[in-house]
Amino acid sequence: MAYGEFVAGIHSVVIDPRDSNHMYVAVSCAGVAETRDGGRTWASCNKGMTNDYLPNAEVEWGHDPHFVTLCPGAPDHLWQQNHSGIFYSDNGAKTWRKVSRDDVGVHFGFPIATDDSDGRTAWVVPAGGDSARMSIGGGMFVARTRDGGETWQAFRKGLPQEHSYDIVYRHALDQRGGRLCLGTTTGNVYVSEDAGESWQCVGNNFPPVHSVRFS
Amino acid sequence: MAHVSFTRHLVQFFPKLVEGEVPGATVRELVSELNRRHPGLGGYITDETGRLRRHVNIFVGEEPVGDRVTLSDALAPESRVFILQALSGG
Repeated sequence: MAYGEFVAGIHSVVIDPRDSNHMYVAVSCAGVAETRDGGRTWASCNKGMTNDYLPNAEVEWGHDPHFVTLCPGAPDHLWQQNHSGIFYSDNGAKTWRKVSRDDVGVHFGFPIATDDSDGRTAWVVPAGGDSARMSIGGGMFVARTRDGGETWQAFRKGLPQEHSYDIVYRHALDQRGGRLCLGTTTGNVYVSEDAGESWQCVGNNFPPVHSVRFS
Repeated sequence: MAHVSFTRHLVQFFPKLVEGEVPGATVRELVSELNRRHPGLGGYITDETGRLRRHVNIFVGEEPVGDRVTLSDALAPESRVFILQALSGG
């Protein structure tokens, strides 16, 4: 089984729409850093983060964000799909709170998408775990929260529910105006016109999909 | 004797595994003793040559072991040892 890359990398560059000198970057194996002066100085933003692969679960550095993004209409609301779960901040990444639910399969994955204006809404595409990088139980679903991660709803309509070995890379889920699109490494692309509740297949024979973006 | 903690992934395969004191002057000796107590456990931690498996990490305190090939890192009686699943890919 392939376990992906073994080197750290910056995968998320998140610019505050109110102030382009204020941005966050997220680095695999390190965590989230913030600058307020256009990149001259940086500070860590990993308070509240936890991991499950180091002796100290709450280290300042050593976390593994998979993707970080913010809500464009409520930029103090940041969402993070991490190796060790889903984390949410409603205070500009001053603190994070783990909001994933391993018991219902909403925990591990790579991408996370936010709403245009509601900071408490987000979508993820859960996978089995770090040693099972595929749909859980062979059935793909998208999970959505509208209450800052307190509760999650799973949506399966239109997505394959048998023999699905799909996994969605960190940049291969996007949302704009209630329309979502996701692409998988097995070349399947799906679109939802109703905020993720049901999905239509766009095609099954693409090459591995690395990125999906609405322009 | 070092105090050893384990990833819950290993507890799936060895349900009787609990953290506790294990003798050993080096990490290698400690793993050998663990395998004596829980036959087969060593094979999840090292390969057939004794090298630490790629997706496993052993920490002594907060430092990862320096010698992943022969596990020669020395242990003190007060050492805390963590056997964890390595962060892999992503």
